Amino acid sequence: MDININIKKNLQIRAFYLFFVIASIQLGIGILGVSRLIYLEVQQDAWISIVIAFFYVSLIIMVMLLILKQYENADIYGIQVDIFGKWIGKLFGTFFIFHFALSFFSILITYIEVIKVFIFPTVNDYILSFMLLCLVIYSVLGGIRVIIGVCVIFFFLSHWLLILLIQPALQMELTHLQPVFVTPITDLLKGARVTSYTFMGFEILFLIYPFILNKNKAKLPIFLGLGWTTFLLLLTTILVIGYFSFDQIERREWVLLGLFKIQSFAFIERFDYIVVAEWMMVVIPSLILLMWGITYGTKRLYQVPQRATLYTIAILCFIGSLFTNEHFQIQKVINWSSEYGFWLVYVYPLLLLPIVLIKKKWQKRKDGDHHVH
Amino acid sequence: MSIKRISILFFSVIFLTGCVATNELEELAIISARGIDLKEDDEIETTLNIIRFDPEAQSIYTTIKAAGKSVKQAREHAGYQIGYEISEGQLRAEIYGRETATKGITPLLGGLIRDAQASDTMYLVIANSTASELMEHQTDNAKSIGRYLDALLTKEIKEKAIPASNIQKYTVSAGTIGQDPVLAIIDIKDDSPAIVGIGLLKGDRLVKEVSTHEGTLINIILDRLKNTEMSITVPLAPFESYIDKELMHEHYASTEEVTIQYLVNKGKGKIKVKNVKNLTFKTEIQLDIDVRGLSKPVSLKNKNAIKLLEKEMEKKLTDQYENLFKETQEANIDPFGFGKFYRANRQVAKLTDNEWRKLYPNISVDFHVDVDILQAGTIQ
Amino acid sequence: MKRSRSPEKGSIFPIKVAELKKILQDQFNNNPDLSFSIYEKKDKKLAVFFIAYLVESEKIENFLLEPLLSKEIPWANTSIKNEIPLNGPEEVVNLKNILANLLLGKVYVYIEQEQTAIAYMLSKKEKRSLQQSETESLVLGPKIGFTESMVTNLNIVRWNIRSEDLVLERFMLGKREPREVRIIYLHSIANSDDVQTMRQRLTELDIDFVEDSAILMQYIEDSSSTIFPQFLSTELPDRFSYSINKGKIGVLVENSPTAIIAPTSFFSYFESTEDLYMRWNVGTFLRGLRFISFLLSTLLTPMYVAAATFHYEIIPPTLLVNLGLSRAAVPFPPILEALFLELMIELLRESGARLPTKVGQTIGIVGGVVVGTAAVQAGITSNVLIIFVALSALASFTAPNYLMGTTARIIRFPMIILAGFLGIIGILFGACFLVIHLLKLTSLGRPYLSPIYPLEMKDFNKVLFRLPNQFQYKRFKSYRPKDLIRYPKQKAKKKKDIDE
Repeated sequence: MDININIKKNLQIRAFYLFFVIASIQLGIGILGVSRLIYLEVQQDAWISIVIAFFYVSLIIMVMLLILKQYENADIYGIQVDIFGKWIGKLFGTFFIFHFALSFFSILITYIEVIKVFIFPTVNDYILSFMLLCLVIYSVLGGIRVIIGVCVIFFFLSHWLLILLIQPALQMELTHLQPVFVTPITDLLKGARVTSYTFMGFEILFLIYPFILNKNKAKLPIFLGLGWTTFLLLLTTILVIGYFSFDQIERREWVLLGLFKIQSFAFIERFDYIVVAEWMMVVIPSLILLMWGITYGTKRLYQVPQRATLYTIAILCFIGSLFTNEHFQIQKVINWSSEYGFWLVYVYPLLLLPIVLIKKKWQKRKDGDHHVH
Repeated sequence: MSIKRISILFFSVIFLTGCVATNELEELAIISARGIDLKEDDEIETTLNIIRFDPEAQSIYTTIKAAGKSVKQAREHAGYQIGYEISEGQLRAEIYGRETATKGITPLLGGLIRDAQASDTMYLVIANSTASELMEHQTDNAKSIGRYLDALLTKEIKEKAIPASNIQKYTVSAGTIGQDPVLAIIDIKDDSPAIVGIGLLKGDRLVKEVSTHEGTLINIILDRLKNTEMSITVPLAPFESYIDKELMHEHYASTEEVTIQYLVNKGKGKIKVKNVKNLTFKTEIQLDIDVRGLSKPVSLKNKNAIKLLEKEMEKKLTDQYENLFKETQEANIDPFGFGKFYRANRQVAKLTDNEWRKLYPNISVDFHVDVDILQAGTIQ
Repeated sequence: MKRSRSPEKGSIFPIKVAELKKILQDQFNNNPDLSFSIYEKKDKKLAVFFIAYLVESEKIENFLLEPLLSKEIPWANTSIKNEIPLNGPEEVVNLKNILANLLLGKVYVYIEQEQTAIAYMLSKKEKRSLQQSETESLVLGPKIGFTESMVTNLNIVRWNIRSEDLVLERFMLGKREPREVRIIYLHSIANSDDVQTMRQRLTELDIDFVEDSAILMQYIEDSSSTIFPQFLSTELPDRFSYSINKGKIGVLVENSPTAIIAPTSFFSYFESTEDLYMRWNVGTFLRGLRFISFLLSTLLTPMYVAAATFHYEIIPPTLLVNLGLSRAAVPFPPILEALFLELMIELLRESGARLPTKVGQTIGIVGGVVVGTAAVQAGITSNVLIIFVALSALASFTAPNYLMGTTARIIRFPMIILAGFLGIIGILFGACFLVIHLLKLTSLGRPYLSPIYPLEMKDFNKVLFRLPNQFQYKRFKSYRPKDLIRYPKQKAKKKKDIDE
């Protein structure tokens, strides 16, 4: 297995698309309920937790970029094999694949549950999961260019929903956000920890980095993407806290969707239905990016054709979604995904960086010695 | 996989499953308003104002009554009385009997809040007597009470004449510590439903009723007024020198007071916490108004007359505010939301509802009303 | 090319005139159309042969036979070439070539014992006179349409684009019945990769014959399974030359009045040259209107079906009563009701298109007014739906391109079915699917959804809306023209003070 990869010219992407990639993969199902989770930890100071989380995620992204820069054109799978050798490296790569698969599955079943709760309580699970998987398969078959295109277009097609937040913003109770800075720092950190599931997804960078055409320009769009997610998270959290009372937030699982219930226009009375359906356009990009991560990873590690992995994972998820339809099961999957992802995404790069640096230094010295002799 | 294969597969799956339960419009009995009264033996009696599209019937509206242990059970029982599927997705108003409201309405609301399909814009109102009495009134407007109330309340709330009383506002107020909800009280007046007063709730129980005018006063603080009609009565004596004697006919029975009809262009109230420890508050109310009419021939050509009128109105409004505030203190309800400002400005731990109830009778509030007459031109 | 360099290779000359006649008549199955005349003078034999009806016989008589027979022109190739007052004599030797060119209207003169035959192009084509285009009608701008004659069409194109830069590459397509096809582009602007792709697709095409440009279009399209058109077809030389000037590649086919333009993007089907003739702000409005029309025509009826079948909650209360009252009398579920009505509209459109104009109009009125009202009264459809269906039908006709309008109308049917089975989720599924599908499409290898993806913000002012002309100094970047700049950027006028 090659550590550095040669990407064909027609598969390379311009760096600024990373903005859409990062924003699309982070905005998904997490943002629907994360405001509530943070609020339960830190109440009105929830926004501080988000800011803390933003800085921590920025740090991790810097670390990731630093790791990637040590190599010419490598992804995480190659780097791990280079560092830990063939067997352990591949094992660690499998961890990543498993992480993507778990995230994929959790998003899929959560969105199905949201549809069932808000629109069709009686619909069969398998129709919905079949539909979503169809869309995923259809777009992943188009390859990386189509996947990124889906991110870009669905980004534009879904962000009009922000207009619908004006009405609740006008009805906000600002005193709900006061007094500020009263929560102890440990609680704030706990709150920041809760956001991990929502912020997750940027680890796709580890995979997509070799595909970037102009790597020296990659930093800005990445951080803009992260900044955009953080901004939306802040915005929705502040709106949620201001708009709802304490018990309302506590009671509503996907509290963000509640914000859309107040808006009505002359031609449409209830927008929450439209929003829940429209959310498909928010969910699909993260699903396909994760699916691409899975298929690409197995191809890199085990030389399995991407098509084969795609269909296999889709069928497995389809079957899996039939058996996880109870609320607590879904919560459990989300918890697993968030716990597992936390260690892999938020902690592991910090450990990997020193190892990579040491190895590179050692290699350089060895090369240097050769030159002397 | 080509599109053809995907679409063939997809459509075949859809056709095989037969799919989702439908809600076809013409097969539904759409509840447009629901009245709720508590019976003695813990039974809940619901009166449903229903829209169903029966080509045979004279009117699309009908009213049915059903009782049960819970609202949902009552709905199930109502289902036996009508050949349409009862659905509450278009519920516009939930009406509580006065008796029921004094016992607390949050437990009755449970279903609506938890139900993702229920709307957040529906109104909650209190019937002056019982809900069933209000809803069984068979006049033209009362027949379609759901739509009628919807239009009436939407208009009044848009004009800011009464505080918003939709379910979202109610649950927020009821759930916010240091703020008590207010709901409109409805009764039949001249054969059609009308807003007769504003009910002040303590937590979720109705304890006090105030006039709609006082409702507007509360709303100035809760919301901003814009193009709202109001009126006020002040003593006539100070305007002695500006009265047009010739027009002062004998048919004015009382010569002591003058009523001013005015339009609030802009009106806002602001609560400030003066001192957290001493529990002192300051409320600043600013009204920019156009005078629309006076009940007595007082000439407002003079600048001084206008100044005087402003002062008299300020005095009267301050009085009204202080009275209203005193009454709420006696009943220990906080519709203005002083408590939430107190909580927001206190840097220490959380405020509980009980704590605030203990503190509220002791707070002192300084009401400061500032009236600006922008237009009196048409009234000479 | 190679063939012409070694003319002697497949040569049948010299040959006896009688033999030649026999060969040719055999090839043409003794067809009486082949006119083969033999003249004798001073022991020399001369043959003139051509296909009657395909050539201008007057010219043959006046300028070829008359001088040859009456005047003292010696019967030799050189003197014929020099003294016959006809344009472009050509020497040919190859039988295959002769056969093919006979069908194009060439006239051959062969003098016995000469090494070559001499050919003159004297083709005559019966054609209709230039007319206004019927499928694409414009209010402003040139209204002349292409005809079936290649010569006329080329003439129009040349007059529209008078530049030596214009390249008209000639191909003969079809093994059995070769037909002339031209690739037309501006050499210094059009992307040479795209030109090469087009050339390659045409040369690699291995078919018996090309019936029409519409069929050629289907042969060389990127994806054959999609419902969306990938090449623009137009009858308007105006639009054709506008696209060529933008750097696109045009294809003309002999005997076809529609030209092909490639590459295209989804959005170019909503462009009309009229937008350019209008003021920029009016043009922007009209273009926006067409985009909205496309959305309306694909989504309006499905939304009705979804709301009336599943989501009565989203219907505004005031509309609810009217809708419910009109639905109450209808015995079918909304999906059947909608499909029935859509089908009726399609029938009306189809019958209107097949009938002569005047009868067609009558059918439209009868269909629209009488059948519509009757359907509501009979309780087959609700009156609200009639409005929706009529509106979406109307909207689908606003697309300046007929192919895209048809596509919009057809997409509606699967969308209605999806809406009828899964409500708004079904609609969104359909919409997502369509968007992904559009993303996967390419036109001549160029992404179909450009400039949205790949994102080229600078092209938005040409595609999604229009800015005033001082901002239009660059060409459409998404198609990578060789020369991006149309004219130097004009300096902004200095703002004057009020009373200066």
